[in-house]
Amino acid sequence: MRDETAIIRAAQGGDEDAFEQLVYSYDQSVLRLAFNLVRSQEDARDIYQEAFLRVHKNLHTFRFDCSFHTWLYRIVTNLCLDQLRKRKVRREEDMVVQTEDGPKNRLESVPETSSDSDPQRRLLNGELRRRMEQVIGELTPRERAVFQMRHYEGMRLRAIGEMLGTTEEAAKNCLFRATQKMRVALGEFA
Amino acid sequence: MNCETVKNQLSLLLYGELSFDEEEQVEQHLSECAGCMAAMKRERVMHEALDETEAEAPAALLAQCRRELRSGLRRQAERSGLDWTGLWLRWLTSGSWMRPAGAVALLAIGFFTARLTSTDPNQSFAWQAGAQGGVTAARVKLVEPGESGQVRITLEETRRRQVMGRVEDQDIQQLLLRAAQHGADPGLRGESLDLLRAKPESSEVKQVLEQALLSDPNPGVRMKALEALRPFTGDEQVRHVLAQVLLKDEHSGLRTQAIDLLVANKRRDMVGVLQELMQREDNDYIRLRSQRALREMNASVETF
Repeated sequence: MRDETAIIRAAQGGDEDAFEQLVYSYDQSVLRLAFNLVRSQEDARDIYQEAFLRVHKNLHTFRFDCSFHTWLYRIVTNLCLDQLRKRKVRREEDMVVQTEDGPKNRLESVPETSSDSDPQRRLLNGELRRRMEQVIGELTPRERAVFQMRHYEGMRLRAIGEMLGTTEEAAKNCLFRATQKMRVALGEFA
Repeated sequence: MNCETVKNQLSLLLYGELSFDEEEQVEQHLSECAGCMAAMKRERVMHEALDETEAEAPAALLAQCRRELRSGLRRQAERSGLDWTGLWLRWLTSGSWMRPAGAVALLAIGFFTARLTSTDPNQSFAWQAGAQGGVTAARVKLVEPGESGQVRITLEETRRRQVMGRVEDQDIQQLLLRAAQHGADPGLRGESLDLLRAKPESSEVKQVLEQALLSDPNPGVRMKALEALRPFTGDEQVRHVLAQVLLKDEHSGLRTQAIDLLVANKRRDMVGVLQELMQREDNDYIRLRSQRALREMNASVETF
């Protein structure tokens, strides 16, 4: 099996099999990131397509000065930030997810944990999650991007800063503001 | 560290984004302060609640995205008007197709001027294996009805081939020179320079090494060029290039190497360069080396 550098070089040379392999290595995480950030299937699809079309068009300019992952995520996060700035994502879109049984409220699709066997506790946790959803929806695009990448993608703040074209310190401040807003929201459940 | 500062750090502590010292201080405070410990528990609850808010994209969405991407790639190729001929030209002129390997250069050259148009609209990545084991790509250029119910199809067909030879071979050397100058990635340029070190007496090779040392965007490649030029520090042109590196290169490691080479022979033509260096250099080691060399040449450390 070829390593990633060899695959990228092959794709840069016009090898479409290699490009496809590259897409398949990253597209699940790209879609997850886009979907979580813009919270809309339609927009996530557009971002997915635009991101990989840009990669295909500009891959010859990729010079291995950073990792391909960083380069790709920079493209994706910029597209997501543009999208979030362009319009405020509506709450109705936030909540709807397509399932095998048709459209469903996304919160209802989250499986309950075993500790939630107590109905009162389950209700409380459900409320808490709903409140968290609401707060995430109210974060600024940058706060949302940093929080998303740190909390769900597990990226280091240094890498996040690099992807967003800013410093580790600025990313840390964004994360601090995001968690501060959530802490305030959590107050009523404490 | 007071309670307010600690509470502000709790989230970063859970994310593992505090420095070792900060973490020590926060944990020390937590062990002594019940109020902050309670805040820490609330912070954990919040993080767990957040874990559950992650939205998982439905599997069907990924499949749909992949299908749409294939169509999008086809449209992009058609819109750009490049088709694969354009891609081939860009690829050929970029030099990224040249990659040396080992002392004997092995070069793979592919000519992707065309590709097979698949009958399946979802199969945009199809390639055809060549008759001699190489990769062949083909594209339907013309379809004409022929006689007796037959169809005449004109294909543009291309094949990848490999060129093999020694570094001493003129053709291989030319390809390596081109890769060293125009290679798409630093690894390729650096490896090409490494191979070219075997032929430093060639004026063309020396010129490419000097050019790489002065202007390659990657410091690792510049360092390889400098190493290759090390035997030529007596050459006036090479000394001029090293002086430029000493005065202008932003990488202190390269400047350090340059000054070590330049002051090894105390030559008066370096006095002006070293005096100029003293006015702009921040690196202590380089300043010291320059100062010592100027004193040994009985020259003043500064210009007046």
